[in-house]
Amino acid sequence: MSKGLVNLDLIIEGCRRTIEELKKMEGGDLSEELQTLERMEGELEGLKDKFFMKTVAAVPATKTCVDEVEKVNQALAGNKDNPAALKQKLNNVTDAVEVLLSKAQMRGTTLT
Amino acid sequence: MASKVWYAGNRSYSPATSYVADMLEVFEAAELDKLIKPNDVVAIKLHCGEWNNTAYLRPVYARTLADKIKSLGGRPFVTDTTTLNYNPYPARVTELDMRFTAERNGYTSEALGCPFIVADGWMGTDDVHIDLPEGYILKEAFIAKAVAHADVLITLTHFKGHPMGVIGGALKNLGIGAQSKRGKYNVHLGGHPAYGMGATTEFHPERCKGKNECPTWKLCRDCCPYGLFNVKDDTIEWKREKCVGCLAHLGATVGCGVMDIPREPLEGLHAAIADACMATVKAVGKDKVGFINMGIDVSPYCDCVMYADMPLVPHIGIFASKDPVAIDMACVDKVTESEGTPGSAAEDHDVAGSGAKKFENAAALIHGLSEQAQINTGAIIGLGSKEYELIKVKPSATKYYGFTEDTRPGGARFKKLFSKEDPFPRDRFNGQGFKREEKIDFEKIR
Ligand code: SF4
Ligand code: SF4
Repeated sequence: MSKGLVNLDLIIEGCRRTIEELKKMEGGDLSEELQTLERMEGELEGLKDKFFMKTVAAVPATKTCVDEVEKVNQALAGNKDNPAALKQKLNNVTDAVEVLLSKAQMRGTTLT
Repeated sequence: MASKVWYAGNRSYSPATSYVADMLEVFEAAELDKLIKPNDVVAIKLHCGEWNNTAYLRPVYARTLADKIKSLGGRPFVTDTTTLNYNPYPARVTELDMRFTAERNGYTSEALGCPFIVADGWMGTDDVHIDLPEGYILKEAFIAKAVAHADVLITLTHFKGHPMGVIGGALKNLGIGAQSKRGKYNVHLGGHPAYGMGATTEFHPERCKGKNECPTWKLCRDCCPYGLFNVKDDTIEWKREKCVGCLAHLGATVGCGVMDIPREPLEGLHAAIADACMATVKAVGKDKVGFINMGIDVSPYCDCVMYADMPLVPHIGIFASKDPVAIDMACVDKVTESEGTPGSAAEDHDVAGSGAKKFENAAALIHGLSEQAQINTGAIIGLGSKEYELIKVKPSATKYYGFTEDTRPGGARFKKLFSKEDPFPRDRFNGQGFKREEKIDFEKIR
């Protein structure tokens, strides 16, 4: 399995953990972030059969997502962050996933 | 036996160490000047750059080389070839398009001081057939006529990475760049029963959303110059048996998951590139071809993409040789030895350290491609040697590398002109010329 696909599994698994933890949380009003993550989880699943995931270019794009999801899950496990800091970390995840989803479309890609 | 590769460093600190001067120094050190006899027609083969690519070689290098060739009595022309329809919006498929793109990139006869010639003509079918029994995969090749018929060929290459080829060096400059359009179909293994695009692509029409749901379906309908795609309401049809391997559909169809490109056709391409380079050398004559690799702006992808990313490594220097295998090997080794550029794809892929293979880990399209496959094939078929002796060329302490139109010092050149019209207005402000403060406070601006 390509490194991109290995990373993709880690991202999806990490996102699922984040979603579970966010659902358990009280206060902090992160419902919007939760919704975004739930939508993205579905879109990430859809990447599994995309050619991009087998490319070398998928490695850094997926690695960034793995790292950002991990940071959120560490913060949620330690319960250390205030809601604003947690929100920022969640935004970093969604930004990284947006970049991955966009790169995976390979729009305008030239393969020569 | 080890081939000689001459090399000038990657730092400039004087006119004699400019990259232009370095290019001329390695050209002479490698005795490429000795290939040229008076009245020889000399092709300078380079990549004129794709639309909006910005890493291709500045025209000044070709201009300087053309001037040098003229000083040796040769008749230079700068040349490149038409391309396949290798993306949905190609810019160099016909001579008309290529001239437009080349001129936009600065490759005009005015800039070059010699003609810019599209070597394979209007359609890309103006070529010379070469038998290649020694080829690893190709047994024949079609060389662009203007290259094949030249008395001498100077291969001026921008050395960089390449998504399919993994590296884009001297071997590829001739192995793809000197092939006519039909030659390029051959090298890309179009129609090959085992390694051609039509034969090898994994096709998943069931993943196509079709006209009903896909917002970009019209591009899939219109990308193939042979009309081999038919997008239906909820799927797509592909007449793959008729595919000639021009690559045009990839920019439209690989993103959505309908197509998957396996490794073998790409590895086949690497072998074919070395074969086709061999055919080019055969066409011109083994003792009539020289190679210069400009190891500057070492972008991860080729000059044929419509952008240029940050270089993988800082400039590695300027190289010259009569052996295309050795010169590419020397450049690959230099890139491996170099630290990656901070913030570049080398860093993204954790291969920024010295000793890490940058191209196959950060530039290749898919995993498992070797950055040495073209080089290894070239060595196997006897095109050149992977063993090389790298000889450092010292900058000249005596040669003049200034303005060539009038080499006198500026005082001698402009004394008469300035006596006719002094650009300094001495008649103003008691000879001071301009209205300015007498003194200012430097502390405020430090
Ligand atoms: S092949 Fe892909 S891009 Fe083309 S119409 Fe089908 S879903 Fe859309
Ligand atoms: S299907 Fe074949 S012929 Fe048509 S664009 Fe693709 S590679 Fe070219």
